[in-house]
Amino acid sequence: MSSSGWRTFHSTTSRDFRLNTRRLLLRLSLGSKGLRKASRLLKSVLHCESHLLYISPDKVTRAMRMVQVSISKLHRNIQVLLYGRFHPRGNVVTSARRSLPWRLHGVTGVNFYKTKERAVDTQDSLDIQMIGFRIRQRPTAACGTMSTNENRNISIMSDSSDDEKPQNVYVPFGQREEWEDVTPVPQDDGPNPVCRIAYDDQFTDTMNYFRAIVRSDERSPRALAITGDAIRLNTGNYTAWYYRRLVLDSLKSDLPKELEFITSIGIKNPKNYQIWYHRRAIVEKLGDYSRERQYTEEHIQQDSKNYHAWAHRQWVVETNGWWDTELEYIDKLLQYDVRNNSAWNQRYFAITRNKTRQVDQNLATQETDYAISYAKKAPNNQSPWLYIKGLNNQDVGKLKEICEHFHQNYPTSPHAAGMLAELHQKEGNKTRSDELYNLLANNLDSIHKKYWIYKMQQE
Amino acid sequence: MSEGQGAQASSGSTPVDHHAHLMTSLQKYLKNMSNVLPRPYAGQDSNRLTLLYFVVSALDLVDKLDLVDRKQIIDWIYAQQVLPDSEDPSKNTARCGFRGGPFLGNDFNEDRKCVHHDQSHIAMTYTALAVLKICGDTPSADSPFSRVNKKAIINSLKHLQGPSGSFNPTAGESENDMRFVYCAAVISYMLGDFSGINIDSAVEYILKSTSYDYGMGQGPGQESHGGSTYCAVAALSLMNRLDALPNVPALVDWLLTRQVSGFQGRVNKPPDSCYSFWIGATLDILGKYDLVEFDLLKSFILSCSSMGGFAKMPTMPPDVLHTYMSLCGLSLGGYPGIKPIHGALGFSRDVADQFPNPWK
Repeated sequence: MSSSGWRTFHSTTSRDFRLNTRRLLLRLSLGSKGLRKASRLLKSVLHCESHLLYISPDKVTRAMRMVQVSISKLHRNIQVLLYGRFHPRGNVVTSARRSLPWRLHGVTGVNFYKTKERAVDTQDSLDIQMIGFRIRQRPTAACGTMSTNENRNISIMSDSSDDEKPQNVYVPFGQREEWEDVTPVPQDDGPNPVCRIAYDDQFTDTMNYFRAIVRSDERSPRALAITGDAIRLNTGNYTAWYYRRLVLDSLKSDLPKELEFITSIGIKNPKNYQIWYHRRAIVEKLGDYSRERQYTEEHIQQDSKNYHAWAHRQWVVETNGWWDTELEYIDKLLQYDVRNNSAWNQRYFAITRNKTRQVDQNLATQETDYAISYAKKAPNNQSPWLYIKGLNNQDVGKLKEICEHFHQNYPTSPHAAGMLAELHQKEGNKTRSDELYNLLANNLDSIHKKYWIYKMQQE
Repeated sequence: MSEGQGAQASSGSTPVDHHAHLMTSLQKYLKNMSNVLPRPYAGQDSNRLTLLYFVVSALDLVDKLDLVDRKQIIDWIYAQQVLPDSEDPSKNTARCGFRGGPFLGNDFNEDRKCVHHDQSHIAMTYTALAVLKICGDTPSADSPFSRVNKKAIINSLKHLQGPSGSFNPTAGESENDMRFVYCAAVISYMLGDFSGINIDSAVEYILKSTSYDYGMGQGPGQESHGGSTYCAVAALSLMNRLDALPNVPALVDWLLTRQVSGFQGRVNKPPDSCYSFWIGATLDILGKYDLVEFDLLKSFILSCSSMGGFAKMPTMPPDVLHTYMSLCGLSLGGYPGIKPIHGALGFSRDVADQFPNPWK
């Protein structure tokens, strides 16, 4: 291996992690003068191997292991990707930020981001996730030995879509020739502003020019560009999005390209309302829904309960009548996580909104059996029970039968017991329902004790 | 045993310390935020009015409004009012109300000339009216406010409601969902005039958005969610149409089973401090708050306290939204030192009482 090449280290066992880490250390000690600084930084990072990360109140994780380093001399940053095992619901980025010794010499700050790749270790159901961080360095004399000719930016995966684009040095608009004719419009916050925001210079400068463009109602390529800038600074700027749509229209812009823009902004802002609406508006205009299911799937893979992704998917599926493959997709998700209520909701949506087929007895029974099979896997999971109740609302006899049977075989399930208690109560079987309510209040679901006692007292 | 003592006893330190420390650091946090919001809030520059609401209303809840200058706040808010164009009111008739902030460059002194693309946002109009009243804005002849153009706002609401019954937040094309149904209802309630909205249509949207588990989603077919459920039920309450709810016991069941320690926003999600308001206030509106396990909830909310404010979950940094929602969540359970709130309006009862009930 030449000193300029870095191998990708991928492993799923902790033994391999340790081996890989040692190898990396070795490689770092070789190399040109400019890399010595980097290697010192990284050695101190590596020493955090023995750190235990604390990310959720009740689970302690194993240490993070470094697997790959890439150095971008041009951009004076070092990208480090770490492999770790984390609880799927923990916030890995926050933990990493908190536990790594990032107060290192010459480091101006650390950017953390989550990469896309994710694997499931089925043995102990922890996720393996990669997080990366970049250490920015001040361009001091010491660091200046990093020659700007060499750009050794080698990334871990051939798909480097998660890498940030090269950070260009910001040039104030006033110094840009093509903006000479524009007079910036400052914000007038009055003599006594409240809840002022500590904008940085780049924000203020960009917004001054954005304000100018919007006021003059200019519809040009540079107007389009500045809406993009304003949006990146504040993705919730509803006026910037609205204005962008006007400019796209006036310029008769290439809409598929706009979808790419939306995708790139959406990666870092998966829960922003405006981005999703904008995508919907563009897709509708384009009349081309072909990329959309895949797009939602990518977001759902990052966050299986992303509300916006599911809403977008519902719109796409219903508009095009793409019901056939929906149940299969949902089932895949439920196999991965039976507690995913968004997937259950989608299932109900797919079953009931598909107008090409009636929800008859057969279908209801089929789906109920399906839900019960999943309820057995996790008796404490409320989702399939809500689904069963939703499907069989009218059929009290059937519900009672299901609950009786389940409660006998899985007596710890509060959901079967709760539904059974209510059904008995409605029929006037007070002894039985009281027995069940007491069981719930004292045993099965004591968190909601007050509620169970209240229910017992209802007529 | 009073609610406060419960928290104090568990800390293990001398009884008064924990609570007093919490309140003092909270006041400091709020005072700081009322001056300057740190740089990351630049990403919410266009929603600045909502941030102001969280801070000011929080100060009101802990009875510390004297830490800010109310008159200055009132003046600042009125500078964000989008008024009908002085020459030709029809130019921007659909866009009147309040802006999120001066980010489009409007003149501080009421600029009555319609400027390109200047528009109000329904959530900013709602929070503007709320903060005005909290700061003690005096009533005028036709409304509870001194300088609000009530007619213009009521008229603009008509343009924001779509055929589905839901509301857009701005006059230009934009998303529509349950959040804005609530905003429309609360604006109408505060102005004492429901002529700007088609109540039947809004109610129909709410019913269509009710899920198979009796919670409400943001729209038809969508997953039941604490935030949208609050918006739906509070809107019904303000529109005097709570009778439209199809199955209150089932809804109450859904709401109560969202408590896992704190409240979760959806089935099987981790608890988040803001749902102590969204879910808690919904239960309060339905008269069933007494079924909440408040000691458990309180422990969770207090565990989210962070650097004077409150965060969404333990060990995370605070933000003004979760700080405000946590205070509301604590208020609903009678936590000492926090004023009682009006469930459907979301701010203190003594401010809420200043609005005449339009249904009497």
